[in-house]
Amino acid sequence: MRLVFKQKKIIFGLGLIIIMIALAIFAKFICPQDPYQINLGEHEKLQPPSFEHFFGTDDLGRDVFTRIVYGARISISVGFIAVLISLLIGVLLGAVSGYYGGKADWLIMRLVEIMLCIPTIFLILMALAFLGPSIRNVMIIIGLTSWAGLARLVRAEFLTLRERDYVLAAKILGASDARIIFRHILPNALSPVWVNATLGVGGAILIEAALSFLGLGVQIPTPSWGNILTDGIYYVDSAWWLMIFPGLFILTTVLSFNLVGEGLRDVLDPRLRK
Amino acid sequence: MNILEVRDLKIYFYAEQGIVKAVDGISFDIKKGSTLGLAGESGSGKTVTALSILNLVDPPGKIINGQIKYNGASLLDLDAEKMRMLRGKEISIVFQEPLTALNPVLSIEEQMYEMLLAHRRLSKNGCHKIVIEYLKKVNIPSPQKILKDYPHQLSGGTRQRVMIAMSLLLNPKLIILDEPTTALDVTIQAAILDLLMQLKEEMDLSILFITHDLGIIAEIADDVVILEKGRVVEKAGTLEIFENPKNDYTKRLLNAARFLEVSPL
Amino acid sequence: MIPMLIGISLVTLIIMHLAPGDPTSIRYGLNPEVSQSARAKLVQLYGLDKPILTQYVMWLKRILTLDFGRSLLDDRPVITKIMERLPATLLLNILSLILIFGIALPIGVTAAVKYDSVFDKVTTIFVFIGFATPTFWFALMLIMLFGFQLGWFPISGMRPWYVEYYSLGGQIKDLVWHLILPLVATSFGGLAGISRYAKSSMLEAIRQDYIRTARSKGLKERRVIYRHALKNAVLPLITILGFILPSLIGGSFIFETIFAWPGMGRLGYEAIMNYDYTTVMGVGIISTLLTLVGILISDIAYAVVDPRIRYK
Repeated sequence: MRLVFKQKKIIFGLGLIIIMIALAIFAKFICPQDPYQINLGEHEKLQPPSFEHFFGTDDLGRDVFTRIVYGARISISVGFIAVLISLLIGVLLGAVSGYYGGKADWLIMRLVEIMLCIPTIFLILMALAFLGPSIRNVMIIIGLTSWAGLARLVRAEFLTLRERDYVLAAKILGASDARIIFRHILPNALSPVWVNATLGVGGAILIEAALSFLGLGVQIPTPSWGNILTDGIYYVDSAWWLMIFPGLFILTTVLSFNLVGEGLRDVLDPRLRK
Repeated sequence: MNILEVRDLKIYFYAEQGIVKAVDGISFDIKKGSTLGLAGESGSGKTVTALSILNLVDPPGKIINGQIKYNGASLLDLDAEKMRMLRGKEISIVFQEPLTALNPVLSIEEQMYEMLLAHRRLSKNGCHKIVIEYLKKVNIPSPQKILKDYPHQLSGGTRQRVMIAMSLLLNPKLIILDEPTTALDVTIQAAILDLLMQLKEEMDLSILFITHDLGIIAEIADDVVILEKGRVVEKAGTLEIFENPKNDYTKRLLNAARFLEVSPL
Repeated sequence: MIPMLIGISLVTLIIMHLAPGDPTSIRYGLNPEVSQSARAKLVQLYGLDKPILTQYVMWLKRILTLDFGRSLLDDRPVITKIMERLPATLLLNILSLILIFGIALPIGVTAAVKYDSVFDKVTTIFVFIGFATPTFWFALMLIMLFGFQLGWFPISGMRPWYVEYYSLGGQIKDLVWHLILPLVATSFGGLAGISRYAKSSMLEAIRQDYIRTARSKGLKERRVIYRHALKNAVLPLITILGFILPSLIGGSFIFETIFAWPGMGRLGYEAIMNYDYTTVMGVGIISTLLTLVGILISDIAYAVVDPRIRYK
């Protein structure tokens, strides 16, 4: 554990994540303005950044900074929940596949290959087209389409761990399969899972932003980093602040999750330690 | 007359956990035309010593002190290009595991030709002739056939014969053999050792033979240097060591040795 | 290949069943009337009201004959619409693949050879930022900077390739002109990944025993690195092709929409927005098949170039 905090990447990334989460939670206190407050006055619409509006205002006179801060709620919660779903599926299928082997393994691995082969973005777009766009659907669908890599990882860990002496000992003592899987093997197989999951949060945030940008994710007027950019595209020639700031927020957030993920990998994977 | 003189050599590895003194002040000589056995357990610094002669120690390892003289000239002072020209031409190395020491994705032909071409101006035909000659020398029955092959297609014994042929291509004076038979079956081991001794006479070679197996030393070496944890613990003629080992470590190594059928004792 | 195809046909069949039939199931934005009549057509065309086995056989037959029925939007055969758009998508993606490998490979290899140098550190930072950059935002930034602020490149479109309106030279010039921004945007995402992969692959190769052998033979350092290490490092990169294809083709949907590029991705996106379910299914199947073909090609290519697999 001490090693974890020795990592500059982790400290830096974690710091940024905490700031982002704090912004999301305390949005009300940080931004006194209402993110939905429309103000069509000539001097309120499409104003460039100023002391009053740090990031300027949009075409409906709403404060962009406020909308971005509220957008952090959506992005970060989509990131976490989507990864949680993909963790549940990936760990379960990977564990079953690696522990039991045989037909179950064959079937699950074919499924993994299929998932890795279909362009994920299109699968998501297709599913959203049929289900209808909403925050809930976005979370579920990202989760449902991003577990394949995790399942592979967990399977590989299980394949090596199931041959260990303590697992054999547990078997001889009559422990149930579920107990062996969850109590004896899983805790030892988690290192690569944490790395993958942390990186996955960043990935999910990127997908959510793209979906919302395309109009298939979070629906207006609820602010999200992706759909603020959609508004911005109509004013790409005049209101640069509508474009730059949401993108920078996405970039920074994803970057900080990736930093933590990479840092964890450096710490947890002894092969890479020099 | 010594072909190689090593004096007070120190090679340290700078790891995150601290400094590892892989070689800590060793000295030895190799007489021209003789075979020196360098023996010790794994981790005693044998291989690093061998690598340092051709300046092949990779970071984090570093030669921090000492002198290595080849025919009286200091090797550690050579610039990169002079060192390159010396490698393979004056001194060559045969490594322990031929499967990993040969490049898996280049043909035997390419790996042998390139060595000749790095030192001499030759046509493809010229390369071909020399390579075939040396492959015959190491008793590969139909050398023509394996030229287009890749390492994984050959047997372990053939692979090591290829390595030996390659190390001799430019008629070096000194050849370093780093556990050349350890990865092989016992029967093939004996054949390779016989081959090496025969080639030594034929080509007037000096040999530095590195091994953990004193049985092999007994068979082929004129002198022995015993290493333990980067230090020389005993240094003597082969007969002397076997008849009257002074050091406890040497005695242990002797007990562990498997003696091959030919023995000077 | 075969189990893959069966699996994909199953997954897509399931997705089709997700089509909203009950107007109350639609919560946001979409017009329930439109989607309900679209669903009715879908049910009729693909026989979604028939027994599940019949449905599956029908669907599989359609996939194998590439017959996805007619577009719900303009009643033209879906496959015709896709074939019109496919060349533009292939052009963009193939060029982008070439660009990605052409740039990322030298960068990764150099970073590995000069490990821990300034160049290595700068590229590492670049890769890190590249991984975190939303690619569609990057595309928007390109449009903002080069399209509007500087006015160097057209910001959108390319006439459909089948419309002749210039001389051949003019057409090519026009094409290149319109291609540059989409190409840069499409390639950006892959650059970070591939250069990073190339670097670690090269670092791995440099550590191997045969590199030491090569040096001990007195080879010039250039040959040691660019023949012995490089050949070993590059071979596995061929299989990586199979991994980036799905994301590349997935990216088409976003970039072609942003740049109004007349390709299959934009067709798919428009189909989604218009509840043109038959076209959606067609585009989905074709893009998956494309990925499969790409993976197959990279597997074969790998088997051909790697002697360890060639002689077995």
